[in-house]
Amino acid sequence: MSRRVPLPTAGAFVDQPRGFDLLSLPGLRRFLRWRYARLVFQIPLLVLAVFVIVDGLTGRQLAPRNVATTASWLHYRGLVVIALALVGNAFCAACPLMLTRGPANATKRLLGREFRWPAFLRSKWLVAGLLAAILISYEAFGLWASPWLTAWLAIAYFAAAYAIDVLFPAGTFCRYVCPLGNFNFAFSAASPTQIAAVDPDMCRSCEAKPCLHGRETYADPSRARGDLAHLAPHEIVAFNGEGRFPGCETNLMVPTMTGSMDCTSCFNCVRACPYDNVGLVVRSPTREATTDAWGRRWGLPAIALGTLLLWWGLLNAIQMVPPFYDAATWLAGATGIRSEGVLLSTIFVLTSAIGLAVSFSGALLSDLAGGAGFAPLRALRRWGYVYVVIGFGFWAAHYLFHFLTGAVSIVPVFQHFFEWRGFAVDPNWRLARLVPSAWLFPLTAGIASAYALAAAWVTIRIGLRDFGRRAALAIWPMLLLTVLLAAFQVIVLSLPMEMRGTILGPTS
Amino acid sequence: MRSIAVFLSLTSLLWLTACRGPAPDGDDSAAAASGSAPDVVMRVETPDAPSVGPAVIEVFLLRDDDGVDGAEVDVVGDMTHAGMEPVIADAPMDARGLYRTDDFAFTMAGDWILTVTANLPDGERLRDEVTLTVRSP
Repeated sequence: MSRRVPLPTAGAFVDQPRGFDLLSLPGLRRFLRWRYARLVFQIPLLVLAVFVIVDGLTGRQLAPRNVATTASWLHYRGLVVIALALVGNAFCAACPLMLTRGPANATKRLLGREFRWPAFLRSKWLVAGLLAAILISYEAFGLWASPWLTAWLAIAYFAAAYAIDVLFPAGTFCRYVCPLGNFNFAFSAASPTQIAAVDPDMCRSCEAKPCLHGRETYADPSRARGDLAHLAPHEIVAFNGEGRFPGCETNLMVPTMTGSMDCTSCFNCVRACPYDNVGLVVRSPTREATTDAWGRRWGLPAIALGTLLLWWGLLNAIQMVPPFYDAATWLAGATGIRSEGVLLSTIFVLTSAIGLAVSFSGALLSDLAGGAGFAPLRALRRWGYVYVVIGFGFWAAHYLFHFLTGAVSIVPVFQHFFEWRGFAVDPNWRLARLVPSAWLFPLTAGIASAYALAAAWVTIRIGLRDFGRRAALAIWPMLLLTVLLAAFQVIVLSLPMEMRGTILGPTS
Repeated sequence: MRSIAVFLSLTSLLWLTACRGPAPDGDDSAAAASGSAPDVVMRVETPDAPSVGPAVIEVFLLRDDDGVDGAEVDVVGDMTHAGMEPVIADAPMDARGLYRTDDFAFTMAGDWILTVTANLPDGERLRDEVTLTVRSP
């Protein structure tokens, strides 16, 4: 039986938000249609990446005094969640890894062939595994305390982006490999903006679909390579220059985008659209979670990734509070595990398994209460969005705790970069906090609670959408789980932090 | 041209993979450590079981087993996680060759690195690092 659903022949292709188009702000659309707009965002992060690598490899190996550890584990992570919460996937938009594209294409031409990404890897399972590997490594190797390893991680990212781009089609790395990007993809579900078609009927009449496939535009058509649709300058509304305008590298077609999953905010679609018909539309941060936006295209792997991110986020934070060390010591004693790496991996696997079991249970109980029958996978696909929203709240609270604690330290850290290299600079190490300590708990608990409320709202909307009059029964198990998770998060945030590099005992 | 420039600048970074910053002076895994100028020895002593709260860090400056007076000593405590505000304290002389912090406090449990710097009267500068784990009270 075919699962294909015919697209409507008039009006919107899919359910897209119709809010205020940010690109209608003065100058913004014109800027983003400029072919070098993305480069403007990428260059600052490329420069920062150079500082990270240089200081990480050659600077003082003290995490709070090194650009590598400070910029990577404090500022990058804090600003990522701020951007996701307030705007969208801004850090993929500015990703400097994509500047390896040019050299990769040159190498690809030398190589003479391009491989197909294996079909069995075309889902979110691989990236979930890579994300797990990074989170385990973060704790096991103390990446947060090692500028040198952090620099190597940055180099590995550049090398991986380059290698994947050389061997496979553009966009493969972003879509199927990049753990950072997929973290952003998953949590941009809670962002207040989305790419959407301004007028879907215009898309319907568009033959070349340049937002997806790209286009070439030259006054002299003989200059075109011929692998993209050629549109003459007079066919372009708001002409934005001659040249090649690539389409979406992650294979998203604007009028059929149901959410922001896989959208790198590169704005290739904005530049490629000959009709200036792509918008960046304001929407409710819960919209994507309440419209089954990942269902048709990404399905269970994406939902599972989003669900696991909730539990990994909890573990990532719990690993900094004293009860974790007691529990880890007990587990080491009970199992005889002496290797911290093995112990951390065991805890990670246990947390993932228990987390998935709890997540499945909540979703299944809600389905059963609503009369939907026993179908665990279907239940998780339905209710998993709730976990994504509450998970983002906790990651945001955790990362913001660190960011607010030390955001201003970037000033003395950069001063120290130059002092270390012989410049007459006197770092002011008193610069650290962005807000008084007393504000940290109310702020972070408030953020976690706000997203828990949003998750409760998502629960109610999904219940009403799928269960009609039985929604009042269906939503209770998930609502109860949401409240318990929120309470657990607030308790974790209230505990005193302990930043230890070893979990089986003090180093001295 | 742009892509070649980016490629060259990125690959040039690979040369740095052979580099590493200088290792910290002294034994950084002990609760007490020492550094030395040509003839001056610095010993740093921390509490046996450090916990969150006020702590006294003692710094001994010895030349041929005789205490060195008149040095300016400061102690900077950093956590191993980026972004934590360091604790900075002077260690005035308490007895001949003995310098003690009087307003130093560990602000959070976890791994700490103490950087002790002594500026000697003759212009010599000694520096030492000590790592230790601070417990909750």
